[in-house]
Amino acid sequence: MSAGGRQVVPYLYVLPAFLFFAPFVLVPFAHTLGLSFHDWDGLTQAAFVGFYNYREALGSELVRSAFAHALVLIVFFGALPVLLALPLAVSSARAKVRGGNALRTLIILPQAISTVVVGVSWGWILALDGPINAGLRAIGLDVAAIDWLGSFTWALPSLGMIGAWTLLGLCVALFFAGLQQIPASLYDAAAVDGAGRWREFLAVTLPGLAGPLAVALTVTVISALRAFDLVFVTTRGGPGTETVVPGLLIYRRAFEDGQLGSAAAIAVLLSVVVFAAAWLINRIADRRAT
Amino acid sequence: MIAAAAGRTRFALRSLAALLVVAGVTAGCGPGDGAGRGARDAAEDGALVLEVWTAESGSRLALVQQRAAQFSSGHPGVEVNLTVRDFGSYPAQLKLALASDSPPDVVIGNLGWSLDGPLIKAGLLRPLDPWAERYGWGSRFPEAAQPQMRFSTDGKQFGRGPIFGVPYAADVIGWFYNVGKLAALGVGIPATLDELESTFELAKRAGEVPIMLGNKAQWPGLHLFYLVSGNLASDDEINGIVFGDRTVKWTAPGFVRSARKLAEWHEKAYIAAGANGMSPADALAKFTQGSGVFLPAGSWNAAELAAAMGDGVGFFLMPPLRAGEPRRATGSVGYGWHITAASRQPDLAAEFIDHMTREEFARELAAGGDVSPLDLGENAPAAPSRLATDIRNAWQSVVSSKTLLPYLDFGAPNGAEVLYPTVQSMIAGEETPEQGLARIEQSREDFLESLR
Repeated sequence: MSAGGRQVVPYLYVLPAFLFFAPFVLVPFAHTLGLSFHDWDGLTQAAFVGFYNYREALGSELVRSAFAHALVLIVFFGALPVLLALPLAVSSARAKVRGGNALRTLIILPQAISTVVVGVSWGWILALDGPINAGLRAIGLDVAAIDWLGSFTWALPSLGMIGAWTLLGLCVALFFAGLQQIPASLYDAAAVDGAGRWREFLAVTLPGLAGPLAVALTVTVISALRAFDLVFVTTRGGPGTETVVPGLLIYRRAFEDGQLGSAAAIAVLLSVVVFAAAWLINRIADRRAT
Repeated sequence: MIAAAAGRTRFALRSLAALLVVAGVTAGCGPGDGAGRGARDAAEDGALVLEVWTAESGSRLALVQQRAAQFSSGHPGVEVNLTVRDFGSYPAQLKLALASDSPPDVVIGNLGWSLDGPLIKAGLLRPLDPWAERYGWGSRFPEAAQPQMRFSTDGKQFGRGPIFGVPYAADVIGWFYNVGKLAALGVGIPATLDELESTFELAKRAGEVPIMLGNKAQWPGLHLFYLVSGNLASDDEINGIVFGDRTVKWTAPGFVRSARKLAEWHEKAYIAAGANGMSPADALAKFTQGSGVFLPAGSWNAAELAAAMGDGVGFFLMPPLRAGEPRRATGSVGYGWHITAASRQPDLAAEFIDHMTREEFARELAAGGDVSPLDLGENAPAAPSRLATDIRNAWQSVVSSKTLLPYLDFGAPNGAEVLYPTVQSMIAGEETPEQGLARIEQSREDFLESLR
């Protein structure tokens, strides 16, 4: 009896959360999964088409390039902020400078601004007659002054830089909080063992930050994969199709072009990639932490 | 059963919206709860309520509201309930409303496959023949515009079949020009394509931006394409693409020449630098502030331009290849009013539509500087600006010479995904006309195939 009770009770604890989770997440997801096997314009009778939408999506140059663009954005949204935030957080935790808190607040500020505002503002900053190009011209680099978001070469990296700017503060805040959790005794021990700054960073700081690193990478990588609002506001996927991302295709096919089955299939593929990325990051972090 | 199907539609759309949120794709423009009220047969006080949807804004919306109020006061016991949605999200919201349990009675659509096609194919709109005959809608509008109002009843063939929509405000694409700048260049309105191009060259040498364009939204590039293809492509090529003729292809010589011409203009730096990063609204603002000699755009921008520039702005249609030939231009009689299949008061709805599209409405529209699809003749009110006069004359010239051409993007619902971005790439020289047009054609053929 007690064994049976032990099996049921934990599930009762998660039941309220599950009751909320199921209708708003699981059911729609299952429905989208079902939809992805249909040809449906949102108005007439849906027709079952098996894996057609998936074959079409995987065979489509545009869909493949959308996922490739998302991968490029991962470098900018994920790797870049993490690499920049690590030294920033470590040095600001070390150096007890006056105004350190104010600085950290400033750095996280972009995270508090709506993406639409971020997009519109950067659109203006990066415009051909915007301040960045004005600065380049002022120092004589007239040839380097280009229409960043309208350039077939530079639009995607420019978008990436905007994302990096938004997410840097979040990473700094996460790492800074993580650093406070590392016991000072570990640093003392490292000092006693004669470890230099670099050795100390590798042996104490980095392993101690495994948790925050995993969180930061999960959040930033997912925001790269799901990028939609920033793209919608700044480039709409252009010029040409240089900045088309999966989220944009899902939106267009579902709500503009009446191809709900195809949109659902891309959404499912995107979800799979997101889950895989999150799983991989956390698996690596778990290994590091133990 | 209809209710159940509609319920499924809504549920599925919302589920997909929910998944987008789950995947984190927060569009901020998912399906709103626009389908709220719907066609009630009778309000609490026993009045008939006509539910009407529109995506108009600005002066046209004011006019629509005013005429709708007139209709109500002329029909005691009838209340017109206008639902207004912004143009960008209107198609998605309208589809949800029409598939809901309480769809509206009268709605604005949009021509061809951009919106009307899918709705007619789904059986959500009514053929208007009985009322068209009663009110004379078939003969009210210019001949060139007739196909734009028609669809086959199965919704598979645009341009033929019964009247499905009744239009009220026309549009035509051409060149706005800065009157002072053109005068300073010492030239008049170009009479031929060659003259236009030499004016571009003159402007460039004088340090001016010849063509102001904001192509961030990607469709403005296609509007520039229309100006060229109107002269370089044949009637058969253009109508064939729009009205689903499978023997005509986007790879036809006329379109290749058109794309090549635009790439040449880009190459020669006639098109504003930074066009791809500039929104159409920003380009318009720059033009009013004195940047750019020419602005290729639709007549619907006239009110804003005239308000900002007064008589300093004019309009002309794309000049022909040889002087003296009639000018050809892309334009339409405008999207129409439709009666929904679900409306339980179609006669009242038809009376409303007639009221909203009669000569009285046209006169008020014209008095405000907008273009009416009706030939007002002697009854036409004075145009409020030099620009409005130019545009009215331009419209009348294409109607009388029967050289009004339909919008190429009405031919398939692939605009945002394929057509606009590809035209942008071809202009920039990122893609050859042959490559780009082949891809546009492929997506059109896929669509036509899906109709079979």
